[in-house]
Amino acid sequence: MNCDQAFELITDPRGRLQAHPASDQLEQHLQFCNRCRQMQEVLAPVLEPLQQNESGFEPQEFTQNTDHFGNSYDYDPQFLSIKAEEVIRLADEAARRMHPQSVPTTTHILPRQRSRAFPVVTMLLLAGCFLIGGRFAVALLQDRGDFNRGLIPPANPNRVPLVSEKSEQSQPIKSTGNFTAYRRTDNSKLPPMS
Amino acid sequence: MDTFESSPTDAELMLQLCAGHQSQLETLMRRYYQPLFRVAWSKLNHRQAAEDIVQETFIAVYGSRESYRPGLSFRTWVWTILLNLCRRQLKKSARNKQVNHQDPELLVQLAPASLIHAETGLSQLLLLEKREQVIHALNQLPEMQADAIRLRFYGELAYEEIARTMECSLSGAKRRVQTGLLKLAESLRTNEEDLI
Repeated sequence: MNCDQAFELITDPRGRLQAHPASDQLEQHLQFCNRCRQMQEVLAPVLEPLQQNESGFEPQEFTQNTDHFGNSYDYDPQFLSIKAEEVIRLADEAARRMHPQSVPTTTHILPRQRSRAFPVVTMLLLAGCFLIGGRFAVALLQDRGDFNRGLIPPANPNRVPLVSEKSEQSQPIKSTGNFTAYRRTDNSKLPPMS
Repeated sequence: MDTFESSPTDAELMLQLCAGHQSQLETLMRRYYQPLFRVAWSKLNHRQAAEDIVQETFIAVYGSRESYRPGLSFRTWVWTILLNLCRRQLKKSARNKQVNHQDPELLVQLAPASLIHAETGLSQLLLLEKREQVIHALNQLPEMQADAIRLRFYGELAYEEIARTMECSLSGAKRRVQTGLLKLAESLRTNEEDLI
């Protein structure tokens, strides 16, 4: 037996050292281990009141003593039977409160619960919003594309545009001033670049 | 014959409880009510509060029976629930200062006449007085050490179970009990010297 096992036996909750099969081994260990022997001597006054079976009370007497700490009527079968029924009733009530689907239909449903109860409606509303939003975005992009095509002349791969040409090119646009006319006309009808 | 006499394990009882045998809760309560109640009472210092906490513990056990896994130790599970509920109750009572948790039943511990026999009467009274002192000193200890001692002696848990319940190592659980007991012994010795 080592010191660890000796400590476990010394601090047995019921103080059953005499009845324990390893009590002889503990005795032997305590004869040779000063540390454990000292520990047992120091702890003895605390262990006696803590250990549950050292008082000499019989279990039958526990049931009669309702005042003493730890020795109460709780072993009474009738008492525990009633307690168990109460526990089940309270737990079922708590579970019923936590699950809204078990609430009868006549009961008022909060808006948040209602949205959970009708997910299909919520999904349809969301899908509708996406469709309307998407259509609007597409229309905007198309409009923007037409606008860009009207402003920018077609690129001529044979010519490298010079900086000086830019002012010449933009001149007729500014001078005519009819923006919608340029935007609507075909690219070929634009004034030729010099 | 032995088959009839052997009692089902906690895990088997929980499985039967899950299957709808509600009467098995009473069997579990018969096994655990008393130690749970002792620990709760010594921790809260109030009999009624302790009864309520033990009841809440079994409500939690019954309510979450579906989530119980047979591989886990029922003992560890139920003790962890109790300690957590006790801590919550202590926090609550600390916030509501008007609630007095000093229980005269627990501290005075008057033994009824039926328990005092002629030969052992004096020794039993002395033992009761010592128990009162120990409970008082236990409440002065750091919570972890006091809880470890309560689980060991009032809950009658093995050190491995204490370690699992308190989420510490086996040596840590032993150290908590040992340090706490040494402090209790010192406290009792100081009290006796004061009396002399």
